[in-house]
Amino acid sequence: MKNPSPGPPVYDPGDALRRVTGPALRPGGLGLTERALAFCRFPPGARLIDAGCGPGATLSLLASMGLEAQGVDPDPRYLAEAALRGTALPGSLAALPQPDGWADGLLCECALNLAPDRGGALAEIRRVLRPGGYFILSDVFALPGQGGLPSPGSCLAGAVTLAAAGAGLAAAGFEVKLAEDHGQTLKTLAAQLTWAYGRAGLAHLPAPGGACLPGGAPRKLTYALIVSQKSG
Amino acid sequence: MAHAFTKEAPSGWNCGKCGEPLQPVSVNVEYMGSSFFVQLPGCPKCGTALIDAELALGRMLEVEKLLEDK
Repeated sequence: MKNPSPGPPVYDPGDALRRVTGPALRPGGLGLTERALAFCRFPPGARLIDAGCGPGATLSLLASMGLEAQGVDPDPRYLAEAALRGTALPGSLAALPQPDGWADGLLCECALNLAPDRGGALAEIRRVLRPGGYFILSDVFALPGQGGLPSPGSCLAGAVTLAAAGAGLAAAGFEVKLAEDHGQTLKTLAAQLTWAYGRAGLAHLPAPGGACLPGGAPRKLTYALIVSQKSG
Repeated sequence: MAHAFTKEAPSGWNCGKCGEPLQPVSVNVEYMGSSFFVQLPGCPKCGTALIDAELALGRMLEVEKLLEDK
């Protein structure tokens, strides 16, 4: 068995990103999460996994909606905070702790790009979903024809185009039900970070805040929400 | 919502309309489809915000260029 790697660390020791985004730590905040949940219409008590839960902002939202949620994150510092908001378990997209077919839905918000083995992560996500279960993915995507991406080892390094993401989902046994571009949320976050720290300051921020959005990155990237269902 | 950037109100400055001493006020910044809140020195009564030249020609200009893809 291979040794699963959780990917590069994303803990934000100075809270540089959180001071801008709040605990959601991603473009669009909880707004895109609410949008996806409204689309999926989970019944009360449905089991959801938040893979890459960070400090647990989504866990609080899921609990408030009467859903049974489990967060998963490789970083013990985030897990300690997430545990204050719900159930939080150690793990990563390379090895989720839930049994086969446990979840009615899985959220992966601004975390899949960190997986060193994207195909392996999709297979692991499929494993923990029941047939017909929803996979809610929001992440940074590369715009076609924009060349190489900045920030190797950061959230952006694994960004693929939306077309490649769709092909990857289909190959992994998912049927895309909703795909929406929300590139404005990434531009807004870049603007907020620039306002807060200046372009020069951004270059010196630790990941994820600094490495996420070096100068000029938004023009090569977009942010999108993709909801798919486990087929078969 | 947390404010990542707070520009301190200069001491001794009052609002030209209301006469109130300036203090940090929450201001919605909106440009080219992006919108977010920041704290700026402003009048707590009428909400008028003070944007000095340093801010206008500094970070505000950087944000404008970023949103304009320049």
